[in-house]
Amino acid sequence: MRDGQSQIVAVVTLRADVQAGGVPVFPAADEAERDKMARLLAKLLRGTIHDLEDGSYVIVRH
Amino acid sequence: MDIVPPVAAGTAAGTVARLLLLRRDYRQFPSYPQGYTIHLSLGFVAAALGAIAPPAVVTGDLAAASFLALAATQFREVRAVERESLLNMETTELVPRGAAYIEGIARVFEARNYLAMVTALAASLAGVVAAPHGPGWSLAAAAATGLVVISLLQGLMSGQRIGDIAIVKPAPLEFQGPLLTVAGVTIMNVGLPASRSRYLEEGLAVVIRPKDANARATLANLGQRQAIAHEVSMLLGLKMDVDEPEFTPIARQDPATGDVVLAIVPLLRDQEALVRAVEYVPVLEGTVRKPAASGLWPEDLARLEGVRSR
Repeated sequence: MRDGQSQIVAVVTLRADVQAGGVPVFPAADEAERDKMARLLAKLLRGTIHDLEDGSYVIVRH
Repeated sequence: MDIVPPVAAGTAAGTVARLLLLRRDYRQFPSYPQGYTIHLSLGFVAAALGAIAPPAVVTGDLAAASFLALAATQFREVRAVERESLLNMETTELVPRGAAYIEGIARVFEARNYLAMVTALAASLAGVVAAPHGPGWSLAAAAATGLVVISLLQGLMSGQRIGDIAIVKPAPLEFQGPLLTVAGVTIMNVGLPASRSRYLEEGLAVVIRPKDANARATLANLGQRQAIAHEVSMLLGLKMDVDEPEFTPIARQDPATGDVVLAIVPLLRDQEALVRAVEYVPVLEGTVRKPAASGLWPEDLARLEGVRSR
């Protein structure tokens, strides 16, 4: 996208087995909560929400 | 010899040349009173320097003629100033111009000062040649030459546009899972279902199909693609704000065919306007590549035949 490095700033996930590891992980109960949380976080962090299709969203700052 | 007519006519012709080139600038760098003043003043200085040279040589004052060299150094500074100010504003743009575009604009600004100088020089030279016939003839010859040079420059200095090197067509925009896809080329991963439906409902997309291998190489340049994204966003508007980076328009190239695709959520949702906006984007001088001119490429590959079987 732009020059410079992309960086994962947060993960919002439905999966209970995902552990925090250098990046904050926000667990969500269902899809509606995940979408809402991801939108709020992305607005805060000026990041883009990307879908990993395994129940997790990563918020990346490009 | 009366040197006033050639110098006056030359200076005027050079300044007019700069003014005309400044007008045509409008889209590239939206000008404002200050910008106009800066560039007209510099154009006037350039024109005066150019106009003084021929009479100086004729009257034997070679030191005055050597001032032209000094001018060149000055105008290099213009380029640096333009580059710096555009780079400083880059962080305030929703869709940045990109380094290649900025370099192109800066180069154009420097070149236009030389054009003002050359116009003035040519006009003044004609005035000096006609000077023995009287000041009236001198003035007329200088003015006429100035007009001819100006009209020549208008034609010569207009560069290529995307529409000259590629065919731009509307294309449907779709999602494969979370992946925003246009004509089979993946652009980006859009996670939020709400964002996806906004793309589907309000978005537009185009395919930019290069006409030959040279055009493909030019469109492969990231700076050229960024310039397309920037210009199109400026012309059609952009339905996004800083906290919605997923709506930043991005141009991606199909590695197999060389087709470049662009998806955008514009304020003016008009397919025809989008195609015309893309066609009108200038081809940046610094991104032009001509690999097929080397003779290494077979005819059919240079014309991109056979790569578009699908």
